Amino acid sequence: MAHPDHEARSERRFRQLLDAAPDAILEVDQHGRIVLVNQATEKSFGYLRDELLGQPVELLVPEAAREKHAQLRQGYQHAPSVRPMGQGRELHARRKDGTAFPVEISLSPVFLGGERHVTAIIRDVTERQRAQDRLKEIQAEYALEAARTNAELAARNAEIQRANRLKSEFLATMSHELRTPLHTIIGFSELLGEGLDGELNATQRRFVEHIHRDSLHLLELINDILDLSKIEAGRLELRCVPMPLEGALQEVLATIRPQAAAKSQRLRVSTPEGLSLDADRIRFKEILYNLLSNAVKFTGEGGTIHIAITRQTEFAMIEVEDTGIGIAPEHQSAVFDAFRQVGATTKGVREGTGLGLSITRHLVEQHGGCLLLTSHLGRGSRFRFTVPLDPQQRVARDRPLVLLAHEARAALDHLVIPLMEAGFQVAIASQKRDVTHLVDRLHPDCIACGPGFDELLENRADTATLRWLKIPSQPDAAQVLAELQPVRHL
Amino acid sequence: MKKILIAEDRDASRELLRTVLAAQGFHVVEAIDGRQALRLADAELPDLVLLDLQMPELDGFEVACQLRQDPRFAVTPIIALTASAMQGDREKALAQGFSAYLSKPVRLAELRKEVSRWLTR
Repeated sequence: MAHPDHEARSERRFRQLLDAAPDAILEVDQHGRIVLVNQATEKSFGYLRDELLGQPVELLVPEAAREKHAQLRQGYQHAPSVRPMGQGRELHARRKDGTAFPVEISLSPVFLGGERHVTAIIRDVTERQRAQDRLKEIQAEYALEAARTNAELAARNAEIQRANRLKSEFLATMSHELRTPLHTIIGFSELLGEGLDGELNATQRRFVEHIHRDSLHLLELINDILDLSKIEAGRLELRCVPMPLEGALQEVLATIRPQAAAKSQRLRVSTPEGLSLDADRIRFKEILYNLLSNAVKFTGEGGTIHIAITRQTEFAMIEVEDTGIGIAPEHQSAVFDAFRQVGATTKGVREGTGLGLSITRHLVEQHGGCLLLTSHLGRGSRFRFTVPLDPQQRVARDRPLVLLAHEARAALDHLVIPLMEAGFQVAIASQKRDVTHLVDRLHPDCIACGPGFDELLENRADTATLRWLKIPSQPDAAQVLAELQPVRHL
Repeated sequence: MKKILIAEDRDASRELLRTVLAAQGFHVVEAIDGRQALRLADAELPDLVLLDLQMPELDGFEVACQLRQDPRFAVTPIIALTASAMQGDREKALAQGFSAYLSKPVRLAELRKEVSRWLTR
């Protein structure tokens, strides 16, 4: 028999423990009457202890659920176990004032002198549910916002596509409308110049020649603007096929020779035999023609123009070197800008469109090559470019190939030379739409991606086999080289 | 004398073509649209047809298509002439029955060469 004092102390400790619990705890006898409650029960339900003791526990259940609760309670008393109540169901309890609140209940059977009682711990989850509801609300708001943004993007995308289509249609129409009158201007001035309808005197002939030459210049401008617009709209498509270099080279030289001869310039050509490229024949000739006609144009009487073609593992390297006026270092990147001829250094040579080099560089890069300029003012210029070889003529890569994918020309200019000097081969994607075909065409060892380019690679089916690194909008050459270090020894 | 039918809606261009080809010694008949071109082809049986692609009524493509269905013109050289410079136009013209394709502005030497090439075979 326990000592009465001891029993009283134990009872007090039990009571204190019970009242310290933050959850409502109550005990129910086998008839469903409340026999024990703690302070949290009073607080949660708004009853005093004495108002609860001896009452059926259904007093704390919302009216609508009371009958069902009584049945469940009887069922539980026949097969009691420790378990949460109403799993998967939302339970509510009822306060004295009739209001309901969400609860979580756990039950445990208690055996007291042969009677089966049940202890219930009731947790008020109002706050938690409110937080959950708020979370759901926020998620719904987010989903709505995301849907709205997506719809906006889709609309904007459609708008861009429409604008692009309109631009193409406009270009096609403009081109047609401009060529139509030029056709007769050029044709009739040629006809007049031929003296078909009576000989012209010297002055008349000169006038007609002015008309003829300037109308041809106008045609050249129209063609270049059309090309540049196509490039900008991503609509310039190359049809690359294996093509022997020799034939194309001779065709271009046949056009260039008379121009060079008129200035008593020498043309020296050195090319390996049987070289075959993987290129768009018409565009390749255009690249070569642009560089050679520039060389002739900016080289004085009696100068020399040297064309040297060499074979690399996967590329042909084509160099056009002249003994002309050259380009000052500070103007060397500007010569590639559209509509720029470098005024001070061109010394009155103004017959070009100023678009040639811009188009030429894009054509080289779209082929998978790279165009470089080295020049000394007063001593001449050297343009070098690469073009992929016919796949049949390619041999194993001896130096790693890096594809520089960056929209900022300044960033590309900053990286190309250091990378080449460090022993890399370089190809360039200056527009996002070029990345896919250049990766397919060149299989680079690494792709250095400017902002936004890496996403294109992530979306590719072969993304796991690609190696790339992200570079910032204004990359530092030394840092990029350091990051490329592992690729160097592949 | 070989006979050439030219179909071109613009007066100046038609006069240019006529002058060049007549000076080369060809007999030139002229149509100002596609419908007239078909009528003249039927009446004159030209040895070569030079068709502008963009014409009112029937365009050059339709004229070429109808001419090719007529056994009398099954192998007649039909040359397309167009100021359009879009990629794929040449391929489209050649696929649709044209024998050759000249783009405007056409250089006179090129025009003469192309016409002679087809008529001296």
